[in-house]
Amino acid sequence: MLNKVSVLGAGTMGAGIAQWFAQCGLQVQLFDVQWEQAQMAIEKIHASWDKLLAKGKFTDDQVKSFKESLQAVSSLEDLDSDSDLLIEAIVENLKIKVDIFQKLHHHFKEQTIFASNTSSLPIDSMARELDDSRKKRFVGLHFFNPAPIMKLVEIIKSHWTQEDLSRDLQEWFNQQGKKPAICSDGPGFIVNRLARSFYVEPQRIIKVESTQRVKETDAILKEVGGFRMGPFELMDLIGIDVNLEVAKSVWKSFYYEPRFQPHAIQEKLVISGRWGKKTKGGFYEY
Amino acid sequence: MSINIIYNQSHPLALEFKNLKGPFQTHCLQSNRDKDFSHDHLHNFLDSLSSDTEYIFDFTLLSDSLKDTWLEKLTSRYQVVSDTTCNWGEFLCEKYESLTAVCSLSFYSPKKKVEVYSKSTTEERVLSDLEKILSALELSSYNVSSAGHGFTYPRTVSTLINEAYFALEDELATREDMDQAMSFGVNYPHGLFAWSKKIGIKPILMLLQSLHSQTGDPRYRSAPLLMRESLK
Repeated sequence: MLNKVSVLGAGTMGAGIAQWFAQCGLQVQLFDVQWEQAQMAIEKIHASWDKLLAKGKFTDDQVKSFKESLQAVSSLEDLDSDSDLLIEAIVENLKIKVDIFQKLHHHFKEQTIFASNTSSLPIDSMARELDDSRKKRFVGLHFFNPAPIMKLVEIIKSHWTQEDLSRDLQEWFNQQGKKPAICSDGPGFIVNRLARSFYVEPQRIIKVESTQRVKETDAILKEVGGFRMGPFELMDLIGIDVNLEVAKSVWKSFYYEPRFQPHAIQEKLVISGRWGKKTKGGFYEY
Repeated sequence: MSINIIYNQSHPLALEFKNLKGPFQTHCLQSNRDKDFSHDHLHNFLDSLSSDTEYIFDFTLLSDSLKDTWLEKLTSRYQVVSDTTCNWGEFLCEKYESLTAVCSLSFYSPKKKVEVYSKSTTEERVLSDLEKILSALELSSYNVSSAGHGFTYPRTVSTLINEAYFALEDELATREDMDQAMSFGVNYPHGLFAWSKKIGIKPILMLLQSLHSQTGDPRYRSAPLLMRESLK
């Protein structure tokens, strides 16, 4: 189904997605508006493969083949028009994403699947702006960080997506060892909607910011609930500010449904600049 | 000396309680329906206990008002350790001095651990007997500083499962796809629908209804599909 892939955006997600597709044996082109960023991403991916080679995860031949199949391009015109999939992982800005999809519509063959790795924008809001023929072959493909390792890919259908396209993609990702999940277009898709309570309910349980209660709650949810990380240490890792933005976005998209209402403790931490590990302080001190 | 356990058929571990042997003296309240609990049930049970009984283990799964009534009677005569997974345990502990410890026995734990809150005055032999019961059930205790309302793990996982049922009603995705997403996207030990099967719908619903009724907060409103599935 997929042999050639074009990836837009060479940040963490774009580079990870490009790396994973190359590891699947596909021809991959990586584009970024900043040529240096694309080159840097290629270097990092190569270094990652070298490390995995040293660890015995891949053979010499495999790594050689991966490197040959991954290429950075400096202009959109250089993208292979014969690509089977174009996926963007650029800035979360609807207008910029739509502009680039519209610009590339005539560059690619009619069968090329257009996809967005957005985690927050409605898939329909992009699909509606595309040519009718492209709408049918437009989906959300939401990878999780780090893309080469995390198994889940959410396949998000727009209102216009051909039914067999999402199923074909599901089958293809399954064959490559991913664990795809098909869903409709809705705020937060599956994971960012269903997991909201994991962050908010523990804040309701502790009621006020307290290191002792934070530690105890994390410990209970790991030791009794079997979660790999506690909610507070996870928010510190994600970034309390980033997590709050997602929470607010989902809450707003559900017309302020109380089930998604963020908690005042989190807001307080964000206001005070304690955003987690990256600021050396959040629910825990680092 | 025997360890006295009282439970009801609604409890997810009813069968396991029934099969307990050794020092355990178990008594099942025969009715499946909470409303049928009566003074007779209690008095028949209490009369069957030996006169030197000082404490009993109450593993009934009951709605808030029935649990309150039940504990009022039990604690008037004995020290009690109670399963308050689906109730406001913190409140009940304050209300009844003889309610010496509470635990979260009604919720399946992936780690086979049970949250246990005990008062500073709780006698060591009571906690030791609780450990014996848990051990016989292949469980162990995890001591917590507060019983809260539905403890920590049951309350958190109930709200997660409730949202999964709301999402299913919204036709966001199939149960299988949602379970796959949570297992492989955020590494949960189980998908939320598989998890709800392991716990059982009834305790999840009872806890959500208790939280909703005590707090008045609409965030705890149960998903209609969850309610419908509890009838099956």
